[in-house]
Amino acid sequence: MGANEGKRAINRVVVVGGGTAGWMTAAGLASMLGQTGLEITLVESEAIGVVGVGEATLPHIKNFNDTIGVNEAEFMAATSATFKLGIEFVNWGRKGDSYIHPFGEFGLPNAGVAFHQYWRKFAGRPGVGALDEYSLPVIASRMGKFQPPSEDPRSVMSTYRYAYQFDALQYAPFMRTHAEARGVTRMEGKVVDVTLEPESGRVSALTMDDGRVVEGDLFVDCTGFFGLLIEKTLSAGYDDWSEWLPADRAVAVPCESDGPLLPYTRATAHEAGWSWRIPLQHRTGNGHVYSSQFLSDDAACDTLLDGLEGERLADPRFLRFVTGKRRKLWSRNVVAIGLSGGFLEPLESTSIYLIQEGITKLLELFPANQDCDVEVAEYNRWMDLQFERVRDFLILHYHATERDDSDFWNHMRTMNVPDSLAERLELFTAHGHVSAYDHGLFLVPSWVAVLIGQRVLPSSFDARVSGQADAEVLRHLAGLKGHMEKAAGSMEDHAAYLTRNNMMRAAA
Amino acid sequence: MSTERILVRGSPLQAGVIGAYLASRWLGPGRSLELAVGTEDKATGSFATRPSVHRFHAEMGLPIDQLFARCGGSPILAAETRTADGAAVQLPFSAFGVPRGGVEFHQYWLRASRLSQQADLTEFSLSLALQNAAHKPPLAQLEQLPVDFGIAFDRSAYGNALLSFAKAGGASVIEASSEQAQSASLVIQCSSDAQAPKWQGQELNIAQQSGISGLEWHALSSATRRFANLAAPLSDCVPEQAEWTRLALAQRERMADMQELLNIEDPLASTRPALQRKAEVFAACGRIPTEDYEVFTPPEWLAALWARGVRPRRSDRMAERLTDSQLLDWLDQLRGQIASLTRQVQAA
Ligand SMILES: Cc1cc2nc3c(=O)[nH]c(=O)nc-3n(C[C@H](O)[C@H](O)[C@H](O)COP(=O)(O)OP(=O)(O)OC[C@H]3O[C@@H](n4cnc5c(N)ncnc54)[C@H](O)[C@@H]3O)c2cc1C
Repeated sequence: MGANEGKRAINRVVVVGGGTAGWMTAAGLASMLGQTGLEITLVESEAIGVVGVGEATLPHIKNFNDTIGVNEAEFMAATSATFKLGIEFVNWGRKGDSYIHPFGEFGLPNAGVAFHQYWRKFAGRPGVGALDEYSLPVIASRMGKFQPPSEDPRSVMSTYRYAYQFDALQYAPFMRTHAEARGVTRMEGKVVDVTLEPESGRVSALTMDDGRVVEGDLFVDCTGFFGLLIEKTLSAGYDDWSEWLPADRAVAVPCESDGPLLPYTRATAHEAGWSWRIPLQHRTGNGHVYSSQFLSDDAACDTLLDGLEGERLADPRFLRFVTGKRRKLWSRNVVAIGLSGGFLEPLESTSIYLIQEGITKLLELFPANQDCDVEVAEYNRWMDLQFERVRDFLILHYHATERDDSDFWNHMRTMNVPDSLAERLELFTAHGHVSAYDHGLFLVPSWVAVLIGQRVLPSSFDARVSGQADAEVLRHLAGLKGHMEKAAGSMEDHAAYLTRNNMMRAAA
Repeated sequence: MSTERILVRGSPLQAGVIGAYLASRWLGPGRSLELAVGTEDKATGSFATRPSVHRFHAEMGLPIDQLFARCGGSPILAAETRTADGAAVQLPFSAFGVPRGGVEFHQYWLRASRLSQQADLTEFSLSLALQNAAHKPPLAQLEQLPVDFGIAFDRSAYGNALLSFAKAGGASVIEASSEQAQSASLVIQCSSDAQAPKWQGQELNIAQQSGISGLEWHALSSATRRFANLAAPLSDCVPEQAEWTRLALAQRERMADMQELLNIEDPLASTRPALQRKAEVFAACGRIPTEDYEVFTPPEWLAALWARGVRPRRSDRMAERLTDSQLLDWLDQLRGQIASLTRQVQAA
């Protein structure tokens, strides 16, 4: 390496790819570092296009939008977005089951003991009902209601958060407007060649199909499943997790909306996978994620089309993937963000969250020059942890089941899971305790929602629950349920809320 | 149903902290709690806690202001310790300066230091200003300020107050040499050597910590709280034991990281992976990576790294969003505010 090569300052970032990942990255970098003289160029090819799916999100996206200065009403209208209070899981524990994993709490803790412990003691008694009947976002979801949470921590209205469901094809253009207004330069065209510095092996320039050359100091690979820089050029390697998550295909199709606008996503388990239903203002997004080892493409497509609730609006589109992540998400001077970095099926809407996490960490560790091995190692450590913890949570959905109606479910139910997950299951099934961590996406209520929603009932409960008289606890449960129902009932109808707040997209 | 019996062995202070919490958060029908209190503590004087003392006492229903008055309480806003070569180090519980636009204050300070001579980073810490002031503010006033604080109690008064609270809550104090004090469904004890914390079979060992003020308190209170939060029948709690031990070991690692940072000649050469990472990342860009189950707050790590001479080679690029004059004015203002707040508190 030349004496000064390692010290070359980083002042030009080139983002390759203009899908959700590319434009979110460009918007994030421009908003947070544009004023510091950082030049940001985004290269995208309309001829290649974007993956065009990815419409359900997690509450963290609101932080991202707020940080970069996005106006919520404008964003909702521009992307035909709806609000999302959780995900309904149908047919997962057993065929016919349904539960909602909400973005919020269950009940309220009492004397330091989690609410689900009290519920567990009385589960099955008349009038006690399912755990999710004690969650405000679940009750509101089932009523089709929405209201932003209260900031008063004493109010039951503060016990939830919300996310969005938006049109994937409208979201990247919205981010593009935001990014371009903050100085990002867009270049249209296909990258056909990548030049590496001979000694360091770092990327120095890209050549476009019309011969233009784009030079940069740091490159963000947002080329989706192509992984043009991170894999095709730098061969970062891939950790394949299909041993635990064998779904490797999806077929997607939009349809007309039918019925009220629901503030939640639905994930329905099928013979060898599951289908999503994402309600948007103007249509419903649908798709079927499945394992080609257990189901043919035709059968998967038939299942999807049979389940559509409205008129189909396009031809079904097939996608292939391998679940896992790049061995190094940041290699040399290339950072992979989005599908180029890895893919975990959208069962818990985690991909856009992982994009956001990648951008945030990149901003936090943004290097001054090419001499940045420490920053690179820390970025990779952090992102590996995020991916692995999401992975475990997704595996739980497949593994915690009583379904035995297909080879697929028999395989998933009986397979060996990672030790980290096996230990969690053992702890929970004993007395309902959940092993918590500080650095991971899914917090205790999420684990409880899926475990109990999928019939993993602890064999007993927290011993402290017995310290309170049964009648008193039952009275408390009934009171809480009534209070939450009343609070949810007082919320506004979801569609009416969008209209009243000028969040509906104007008809074309 | 047979009675579950917990026996706590320890000094009055150890038995007091553990016993008081368990009396209020564990004791109930079918359970008994016995405290085999050993001879008086060899240690005397003051006993430092950390900011989690507020939650600990609130959970057991023993208001901190009552203890404060009865046990010679004095607020502490930073942990105190010494490096191997005897230099005093203060680890403030709350942030230096205030973060801005998602970036910690010290990043702005680093940048400003390259522009012009700046006051020492410690002068931007309200915690340190109050900690080192001639008079500590009264509790009620401190609660209104944007700082976290623990309390230093008179050791024997605090131990005795907690023992009384435990007894009032149904625990009984027994002779350490009595037959009763030899076995129980569970024996909880504190080992003073470096023995690993462990809950296995009928024994739960809390590894005692020292060297940094407040750590002895932390080891006792967090171990007890964690045990109570993993409540399960004592005859059927193997997964809970494993979880308790896993968390206790993780926290012990974080404490050992700090001890090593304060003592090792070159923190960047540490063989402890998490510590080496902290030192390296801090030296590279001023950020301090955290692990799961940290014991010390980020400002404490910052102060310790700083005290040991680890200096960032650059500041965060996001700190460059302010112009030079905006930055310098802001720093001046902040320092002025901290000084005037400290004066006001002193005058009150
Ligand atoms: C079936 C499915 C369902 C999903 N559902 C969800 C969900 O509900 N929630 C969620 O959070 N995520 C979901 N995701 C993930 C989500 O779609 C992606 O994370 C998101 O769309 C980001 O994609 P991307 O920008 O990385 O890639 P893409 O959208 O594929 O964009 C790649 C870009 O790179 C450009 N490009 C590629 N090669 C070149 C080249 N040589 N030269 C120039 N440009 C090039 C393309 O033109 C395009 O602009 C889903 C994914 C799949 C597959």
